[in-house]
Amino acid sequence: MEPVSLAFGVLPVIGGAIKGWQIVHKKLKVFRHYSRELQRVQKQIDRQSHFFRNEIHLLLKPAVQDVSIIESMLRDPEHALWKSDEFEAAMRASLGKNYDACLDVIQEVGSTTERFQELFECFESLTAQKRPVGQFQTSASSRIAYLIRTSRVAKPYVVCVIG
Amino acid sequence: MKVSYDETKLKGYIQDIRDSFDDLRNLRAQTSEMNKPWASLATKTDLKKRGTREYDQLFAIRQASTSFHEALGLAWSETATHGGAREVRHTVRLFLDTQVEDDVYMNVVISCFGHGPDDSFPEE
Repeated sequence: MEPVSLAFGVLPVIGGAIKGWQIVHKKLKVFRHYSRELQRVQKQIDRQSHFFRNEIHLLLKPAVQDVSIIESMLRDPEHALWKSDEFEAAMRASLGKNYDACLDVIQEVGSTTERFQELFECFESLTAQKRPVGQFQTSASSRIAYLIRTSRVAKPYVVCVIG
Repeated sequence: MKVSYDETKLKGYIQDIRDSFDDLRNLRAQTSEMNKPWASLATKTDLKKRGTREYDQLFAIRQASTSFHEALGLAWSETATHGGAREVRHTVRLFLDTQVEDDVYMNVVISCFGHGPDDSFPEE
């Protein structure tokens, strides 16, 4: 076993990637009601998140075997097993020489979820207005005033105008 | 209030994610294949067919080997008794590599120790 993995644990990478998906999902969930475009984006992102969970489920299955434990791990990025040495040893035994390659790919997924978060940072300005989320979701006047345009002249930016 | 995000980036990231999933899926499938015991790679039908074929070949090989052994033994005993020579003791090892097609083909290696008169052969 590598010293680095002993010191910091390698499997939290998976928990971190799951957390990344959860953050992106929450971010889009708040604003999806305002346009079909955002609904479409959220569906796309959620679909990828679902694929990721399925892949991780299948990856953990030979090492964990108990489906209920796998489900609770997928729900909870802070689950104790993500940091357990025994679990890491079981995963290493199960994946063999593909262990490091698998973690590399999962780390890539985690990095991409971070890029998603950065991409949707634009929504932070809305939450920074300290307007309660319910107001976005329920206010009829806001919904009517909402407009979405897609400009594809230079760069295809999706512009959401919330009045 | 206006908020905007780059759709090109979004599409690129989604493609990145899909590529990563493909890699993960491949690695998982390869791991699964690599961990499978050899026998389970074949289907039951394949195993049954192969088993029957191997059994038939084994029967043919055993029959051919026994005949070969008897022929050698007969030739040896005839040389020893009718040749007027004194009876000799020996240790012979036969190594056979067989290939079964219509007939049984054999590559044969014979090693012989202690060939000589009975009294010259060391007691075991």
